[in-house]
Amino acid sequence: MTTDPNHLMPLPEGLTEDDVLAWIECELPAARHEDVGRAIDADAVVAGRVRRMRADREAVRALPEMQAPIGLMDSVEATLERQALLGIADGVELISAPPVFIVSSARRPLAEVFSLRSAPVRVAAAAGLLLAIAAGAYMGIWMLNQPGRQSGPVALNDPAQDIERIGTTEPGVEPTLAATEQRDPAQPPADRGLQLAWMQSPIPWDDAESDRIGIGEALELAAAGRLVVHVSSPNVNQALRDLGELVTRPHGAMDEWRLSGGVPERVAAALSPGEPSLRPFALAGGEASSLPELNIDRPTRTGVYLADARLTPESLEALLAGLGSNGRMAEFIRLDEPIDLGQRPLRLDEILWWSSSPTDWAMWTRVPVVFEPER
Amino acid sequence: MAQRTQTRLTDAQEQRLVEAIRAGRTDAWAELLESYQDRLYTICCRMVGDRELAADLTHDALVRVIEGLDSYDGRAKLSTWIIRVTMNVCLSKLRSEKHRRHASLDAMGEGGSGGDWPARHAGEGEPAMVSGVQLREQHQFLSQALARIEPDHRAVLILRDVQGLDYERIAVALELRLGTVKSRLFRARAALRRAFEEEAGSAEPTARTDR
Repeated sequence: MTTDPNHLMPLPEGLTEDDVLAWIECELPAARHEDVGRAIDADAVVAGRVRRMRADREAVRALPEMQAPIGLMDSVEATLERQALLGIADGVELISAPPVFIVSSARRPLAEVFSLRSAPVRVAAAAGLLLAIAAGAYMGIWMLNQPGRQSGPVALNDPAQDIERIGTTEPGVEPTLAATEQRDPAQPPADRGLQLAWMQSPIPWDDAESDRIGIGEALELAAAGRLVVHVSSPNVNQALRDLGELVTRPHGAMDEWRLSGGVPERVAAALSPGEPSLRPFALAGGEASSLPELNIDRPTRTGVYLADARLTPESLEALLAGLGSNGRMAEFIRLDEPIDLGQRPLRLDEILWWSSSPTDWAMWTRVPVVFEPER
Repeated sequence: MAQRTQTRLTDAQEQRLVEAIRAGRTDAWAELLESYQDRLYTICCRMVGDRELAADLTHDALVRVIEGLDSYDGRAKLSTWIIRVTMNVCLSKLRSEKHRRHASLDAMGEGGSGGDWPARHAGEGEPAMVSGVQLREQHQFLSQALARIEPDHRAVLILRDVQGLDYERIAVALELRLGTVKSRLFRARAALRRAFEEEAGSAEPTARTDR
């Protein structure tokens, strides 16, 4: 039902709509206001109606301002982000500025946010996230506390630290690059861009083929931090590209393992294969396209990655099979001593991956993966 | 009257924020939008009478404001431009769906039945002292009456009485001539009076003037 807008009262003699409106809204000069008021009061019916209209006005003016629902600004932010993403996907920029920050200070306090109607959902999500973080932290601590994870004789870039850690510059243990420059100018030229440190590799590369490692021993070696996966291929560029793609997601039928490119340079250098005089660049894992060009004196390209895998025979077999596919050959290598793989903070996707098991909770291990061209 | 929690920015403050946004300081959006979200939500609520729909419309209006700031040329006040965007969103929605909110008034949370209360409680422009229950009844009753009038009349009343805009700014916000604004406002007041009487008649056959 709608009120007929044309249902208007008759106006007092000599007054216009503007006069009556101005009187209702008290916008007339005092003298004119009194004149109009007297004209209105001359007709009791009109006077009663106009005074009620004036009261209506006061009533509407007294209506309170309402508070916008909690989360409204978050919703706006999400919409803009979505539109921005769609715009990028279509090649059309919908908004000129990134929208993610716009409501940071306009958000309600956290306590109010948790009083939303969707509070149970949010609390459940928060609890799940905390659980995932706790599980990831627990697994990380467990990994760090493994006896096999004690630091090995890995050289650092600081000669003083090398000497302190290694104890001596005894034969067979080469100093870091910086130390080399000070002590033996005949050593290979330093690459100041990468500032790689190297030492004698703890990997018995020459014996690798003659000593096949079974899956049972591989489990023990992995638990002790002494397992390495050696990958080789005649097609270097293709293999590095493939390994770079493997880094992007978990693998295996049930996400048993994943490859990481975040390898500390000193670890990469320590694990680089080859003769010391022809030692190639040891490149921390990453996509092949991001690898720097190599000069003619060092034609061999290697890559060092880290693989996280469940400490189960199936997972290690899946890891070996995954790395050894598409023309690559993969094999387990035994380290004489455990190697310190270093630490790095886990990303959120890694925490979620670590904390979720397809079947049951399982121990995890971190295994270096070394790639070199087929010799 | 309920306490208003948001602080309205001065024109100069708003202009500084706009300049900051245009200069790439996108964090200025937060301060600007924070000062407007309740105000725009109130407009939408009074226009459509439904909290959830009002939230959706406020959301749409804010998105349009952000996306369309480049088209704001500074000839009108920023607040007028933002209100215009919001009112356009509301009117478009009401016109496209011929939305009527009689059935959704309960969602406004202003429960209680009405009566001819403005005339009873407010004489000669002076609000009467009323209890909390009576106040809720008044708001409920007023919301119902507002819902009865045409959206175009509702818009001019809300901008004038709820938002306190002068005629010139209403003309800009609704894209009307000044004379049209005054004429429409007078007709809107008459229509609201009529709506009060109809609402009182439908709620209770005899207005409760004895209370």
